[in-house]
Amino acid sequence: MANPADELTPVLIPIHPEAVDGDGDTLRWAVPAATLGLVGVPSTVPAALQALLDERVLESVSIEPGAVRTTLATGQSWRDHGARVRAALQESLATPEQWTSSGPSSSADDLLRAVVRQVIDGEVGDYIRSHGGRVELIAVRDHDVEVELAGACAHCPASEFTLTRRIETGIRALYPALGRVTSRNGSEPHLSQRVLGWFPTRAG
Amino acid sequence: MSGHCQPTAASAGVENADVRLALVGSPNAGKTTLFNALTGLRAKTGNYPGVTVSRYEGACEIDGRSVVIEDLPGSYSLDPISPDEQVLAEVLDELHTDSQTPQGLLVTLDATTLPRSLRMLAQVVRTGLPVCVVLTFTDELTRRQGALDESALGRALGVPVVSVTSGQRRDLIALKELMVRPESWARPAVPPPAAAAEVSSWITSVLTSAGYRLPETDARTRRVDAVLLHPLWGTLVFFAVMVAFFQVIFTVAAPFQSAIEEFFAWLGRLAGTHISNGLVRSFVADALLGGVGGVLVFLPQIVLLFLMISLLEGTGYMARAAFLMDRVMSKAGLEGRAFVALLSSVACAVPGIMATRTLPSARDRIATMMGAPLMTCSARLPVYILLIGLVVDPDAGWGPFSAQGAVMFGLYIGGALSAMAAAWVFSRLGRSKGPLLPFYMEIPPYRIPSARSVALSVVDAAKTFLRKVGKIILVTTIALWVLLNLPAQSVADLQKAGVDPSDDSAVSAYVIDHSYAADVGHAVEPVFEPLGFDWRINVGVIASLSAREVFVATLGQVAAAENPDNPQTALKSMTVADGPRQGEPLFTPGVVAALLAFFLFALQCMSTIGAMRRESGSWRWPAIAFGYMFVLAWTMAWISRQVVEALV
Amino acid sequence: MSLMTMKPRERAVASTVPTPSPRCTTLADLPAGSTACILDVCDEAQPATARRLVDLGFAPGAQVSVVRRAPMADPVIFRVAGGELALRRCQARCINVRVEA
Repeated sequence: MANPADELTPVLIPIHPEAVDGDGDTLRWAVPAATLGLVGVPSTVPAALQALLDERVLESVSIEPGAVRTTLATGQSWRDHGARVRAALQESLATPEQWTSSGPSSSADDLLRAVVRQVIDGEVGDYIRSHGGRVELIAVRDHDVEVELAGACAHCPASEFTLTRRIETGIRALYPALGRVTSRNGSEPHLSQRVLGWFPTRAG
Repeated sequence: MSGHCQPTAASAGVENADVRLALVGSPNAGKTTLFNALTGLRAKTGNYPGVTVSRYEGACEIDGRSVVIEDLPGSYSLDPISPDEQVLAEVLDELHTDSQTPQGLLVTLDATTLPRSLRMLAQVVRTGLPVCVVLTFTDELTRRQGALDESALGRALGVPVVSVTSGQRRDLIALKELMVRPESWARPAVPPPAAAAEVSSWITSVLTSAGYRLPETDARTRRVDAVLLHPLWGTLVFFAVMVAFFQVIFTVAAPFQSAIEEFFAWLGRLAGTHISNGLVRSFVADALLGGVGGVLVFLPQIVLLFLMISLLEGTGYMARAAFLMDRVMSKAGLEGRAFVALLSSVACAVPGIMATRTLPSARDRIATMMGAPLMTCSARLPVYILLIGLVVDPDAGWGPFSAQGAVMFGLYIGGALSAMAAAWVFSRLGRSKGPLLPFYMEIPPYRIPSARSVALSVVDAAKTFLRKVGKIILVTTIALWVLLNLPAQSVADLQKAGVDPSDDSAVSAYVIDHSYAADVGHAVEPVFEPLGFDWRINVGVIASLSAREVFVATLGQVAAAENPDNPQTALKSMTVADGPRQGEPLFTPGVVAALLAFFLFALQCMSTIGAMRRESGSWRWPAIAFGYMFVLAWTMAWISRQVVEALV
Repeated sequence: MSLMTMKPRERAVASTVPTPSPRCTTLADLPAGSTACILDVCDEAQPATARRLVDLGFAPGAQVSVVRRAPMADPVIFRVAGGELALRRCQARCINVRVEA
């Protein structure tokens, strides 16, 4: 149990590890959205995390929206190093400015693009696909997102509105600075079709 | 551990279980409801060795495999600060070989208070044993506008999560499928952290990922609490509830109790007409039937007490009553919940001692048990009435208050105050052995208790009483019968002594006068001589060990031998049989005061000792209680005699 | 008080409460209906008690509100970590908070 002295330490950034299916060496640490302003493999990380990479405890560290993935080097186990990785990550997240990326994906737009892709590939996208729909990213610009809805859902204005809201909520959870999300229909239907679309049709 | 526990036939079967699981969870998290739903009436109760902690174990069969479930004491932490929690920590510790470590742990988490319950879960997962989370009250979470994604919670925790709505059998199917193979449960690669700040971080992160939204405060609970916890109305309702509570154990039980007594008296008479040998007849009628009847006579009180306690607990009012009474009880070093146990003891100490089960801390349980027998129980009433009648004029009084009533009231107050004082002393003594337990009590929302849980708790209490306490009462009743009736007197002996063998009361008086008990009465005379007791009172005191009201009957028999037509007058005119005061009146005001004080303080009740043995798990505490109460009773009796004799 | 005993205590306070302000108080002194944020649990009486209070949800950073007091002002019901808990004032005094509303 905790040393009572721990009670004096400041409130830490909330993190927890989740297993990654089919890859026992990698853990996905959920971190609050927008803690780190970048995605991909960082070129520099804070000293605590770098030490684990230098000691060949960790093979790699990569950032995705709302999470940090850590992969063990061969021959290492979470049982031995899990607590240390947690502590190092917790400490490193307190200094987000020390995480840098020299690669091409370092702008805010790139981060937002990664977030949108994750949402589209994730639960929200699954829901739309399960209803015969399709959603694609058109563009990101200054915190705004434009997506294209196509397929079965696109014909119904009501569903278009709800779906856009759902996508927006999904993105905002991982990218709080999000501006607007606009959607357009993949195949702009005629007015008559839009009206007909409100009624049940015989043909599937 | 099983090697130490009650060696019943059933526990031998329990050893050979295919899967052994334990239920862990905080109090009020629906742990016992789940246990009952899984095991039903097949649960075995016992005690953990050496501690006042009840042990519940039950079996169920799933897919042809036997699964044994142990219901571990409820706790908010694995960091033990009380014996109950020590038990929990030891069972979960694989290195602790005294206890059989379960193969998997079912952890019940109240979905409405997840931020708190995840703290305990973090500690449980860190033990390294396979863990399966059972979410309870998810229906209440939805009703109070909370939200939770169960599969996301399972992913974030890294352990299986199933939800069980209380009392729904079909919810158990998913859980039962998991229960048979704890070795296949998912385990997190990295266990939750240990340091408080890191745990807070982990909990926040897990709950965010699981889309958790805290439920709104229960509107119904808030409205009811505005009245029931109101400084004025709340206190009034509390006293009304307690008066009703007391009335039920005291008066509603009475007709049932007298029906049981009459039934056994009838059986005794039946035995009397069919058995010719006087000694055998007396043994069957007085010892056997008297003993069994003496056990069963408590049953109505115990059933009613536990019916009301489980209703009060199940609805959530018990926590409120304890909250209102806590300030008063803290003066006795106890907490609010001890009030119910002490109040029940005014009817009878046996249900009172059994009610200490509701106290979460073992130290409070012992302290309350040590004080409870001092409360004026209903068995003291006939003794008090007889003794007060001997010395206090029934016509004396002040206005509407009779002197007899005032003395009686004083005895009740004296009992209550000394019970509180004894509890205070014992909680103080207990305190030196460990850190002071912090007082904290969950105030659960008001809920409707399930009829099944209420019924099971009543049946469990009745079963435990009959099996464990009943045995002790029966054995002591038989032992006392032997003391009071042997050696057997033949008709020739009686005639030689000038006793008419056809006069039953004369015979029984003669038998008592020449029994082993009389020998004991003579032998202990030096002890009781300073109190003014002669050997006949001593015999009555010894006989009253089976139950206090027996004192009245025994003295009655002794007196009847001297004046069969009017025993009351005979008692009044009795003189000291031997010793320096020979020939002087026996029942002087001083001696009666000494007797009253003696009966107020002495633990003269084998049933209470039996209940104490059962609830504390060893003979140690009943022995201590008997010892301290005897010393106290003797001292107070001596002081009373001196004071009264100086005044009169 | 000697310099030796002063120093560690000053350091402890400095590390806990960087800017002592009138808004920092203990849980026992909060009026009914108010809400506060827990700063820390002091282990003045018993480390075990402090640990248990944290396990009950009175952890640094947690939100706590005072629901109501018993008729004689003790104990007090608090709402913390999603549930309601009654504490005696002597324990509530061990919990340092910053008043929020």
